[in-house]
Amino acid sequence: MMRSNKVQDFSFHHLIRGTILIGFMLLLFKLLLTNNISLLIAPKMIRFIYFTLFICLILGVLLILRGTSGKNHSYHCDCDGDHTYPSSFGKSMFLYLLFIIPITTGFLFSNNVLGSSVAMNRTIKLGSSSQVPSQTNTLKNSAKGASSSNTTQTASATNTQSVLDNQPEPLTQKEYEELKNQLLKANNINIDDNQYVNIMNIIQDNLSAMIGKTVTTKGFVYREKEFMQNQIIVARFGITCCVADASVYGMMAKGDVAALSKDKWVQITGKIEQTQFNGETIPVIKISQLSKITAPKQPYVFDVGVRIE
Amino acid sequence: MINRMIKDSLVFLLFCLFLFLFLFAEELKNISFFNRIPGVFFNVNTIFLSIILEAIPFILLGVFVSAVIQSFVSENVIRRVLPRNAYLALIPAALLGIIFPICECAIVPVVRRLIKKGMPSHVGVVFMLSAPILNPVVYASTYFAFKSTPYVANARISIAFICSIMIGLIIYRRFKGENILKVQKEANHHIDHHHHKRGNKLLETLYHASDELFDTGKYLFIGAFLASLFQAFLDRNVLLSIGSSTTVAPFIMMGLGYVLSVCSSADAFVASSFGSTFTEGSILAFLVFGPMIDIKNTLILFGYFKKKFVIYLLVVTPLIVYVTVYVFQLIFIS
Repeated sequence: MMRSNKVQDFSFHHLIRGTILIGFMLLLFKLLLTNNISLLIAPKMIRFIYFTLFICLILGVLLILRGTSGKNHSYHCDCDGDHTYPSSFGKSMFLYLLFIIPITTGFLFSNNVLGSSVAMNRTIKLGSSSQVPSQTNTLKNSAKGASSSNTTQTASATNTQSVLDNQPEPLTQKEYEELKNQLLKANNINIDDNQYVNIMNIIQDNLSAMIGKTVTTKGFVYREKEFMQNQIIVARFGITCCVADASVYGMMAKGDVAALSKDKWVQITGKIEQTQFNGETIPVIKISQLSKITAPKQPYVFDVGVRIE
Repeated sequence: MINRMIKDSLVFLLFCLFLFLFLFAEELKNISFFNRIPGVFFNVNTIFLSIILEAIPFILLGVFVSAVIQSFVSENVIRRVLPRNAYLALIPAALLGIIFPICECAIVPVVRRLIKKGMPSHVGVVFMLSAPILNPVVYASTYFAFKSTPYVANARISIAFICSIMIGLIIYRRFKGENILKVQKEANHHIDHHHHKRGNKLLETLYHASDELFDTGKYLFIGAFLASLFQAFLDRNVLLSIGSSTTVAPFIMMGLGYVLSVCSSADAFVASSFGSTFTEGSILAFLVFGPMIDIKNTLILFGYFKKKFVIYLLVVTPLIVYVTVYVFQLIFIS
């Protein structure tokens, strides 16, 4: 049989595969240590990374032992010989470089943060997501009733979360409604990172009730092609599982912003107004206060979602 | 022997490279050469890495589940559990995802193993297509992403169910009794390993898993790379101009779902970012087709199944999804 003729060759494959797995394990370990992992995937996925790290270590060590032991005959797998090893040196080089190159670039460039150049290629949701007009109306009506009460209260606690902390648990429907009512009552809304996506959705969906409220938000400066000199979007990338599913969230802001270059991080405060953009009615913040800030350690916000009971 | 020495030193060098990078990658970054690399490369790299990191744990899971099936589920069990009737068996297969929420990366090795264990091919295909959509995790995320239009989640589930059953029927008609898996040269190997004294079963499972990991991994890496190129370069705003057409938009969105290769539990959020510019039909087409087939799992499919079958599946699936979505549009959205 072919297998026994090429014992030598197989031990090479086992050794190099084991080494690649160890390399991958080191990459994961480094990403966890430097916390760059949070620039790639959402915190709720990190437990899977621990699992992977552990498995890669075991398999890597096992494969290296298998490659060095020289007893290659001892193993015949049950899988009817469907694992084939590349037959020529060139093919194996291609196969293994396929793994080695990404691991190398992973070590070197994992601290990259997505910015305007990626946001430009994505669609950005500035207005309400509701597509059914009747539903929007009912929402608006109920919102109007609520907005009459005038308690001053910041929307949510601004506990600055450490980056390594786990993703906040998804809200239940009830908590989401509570958050919504809280926002409708409040005069000052601070768009907190923890609930960023939820708060943005609530503001966009209940726009008419939100007009006149003061909001504070931070994000990077992003401009659509059609924007005037005094308009920017204060944008964030929202991530569900990994950076590949990042979508751009943000709020349009207007004021004296022509000098701000794109991708600069800013914190703005201002009153919500509404405006028309691309045929949609969207909220816009009239900037009363603007400060440049350093990019936060966790530039992305995480879409925690709502749990269905 | 010399050949062997060269190879051993290659492995050793590789190990040193990884160790060096692990310890000193930060210092390396200051070399001026890296400043000349265009920024878009970094974005491709970041998206690529994130796809890999997200998929690898599930590939591992799939590989281990497949190994467990290999060792502990016998052909008889599968035969007994499934209904005798070839048509009737499609329904439990389509609903299996509710109990086993496996995403599209993990499912291919599992299904291959099940088919090998005697599950009829068309039943396996139905399971493979439906499990990434018809499961509680995906339902919840879709429901949330389309909060203001909650029926999208229900429509997604129903369309996926109908489509996977229909595709299963077509596959049954076309490939009845045929082996759709890649053929292996197994004739004498099969006899050979039975009188071999089995070593440690756990060790064998682990060896087996690592081989399968690399088999699947190479397709994953190529697929993830292609997907990250599309992610970085494809301007989605271009699509918006065609978004309102009821006939063309579903096709465009299916194509988008294919190239983006977003995991099925997250793709609803991507879809919702398209907002109201796209027709609901096209959003549904995106949500149903994307998890069934995308770039990265096409490559994995080609690795495991016969070319003829994969191409057939690649043609039939989009057609069925398109037609179903189109009919759905006519009935429910007007």
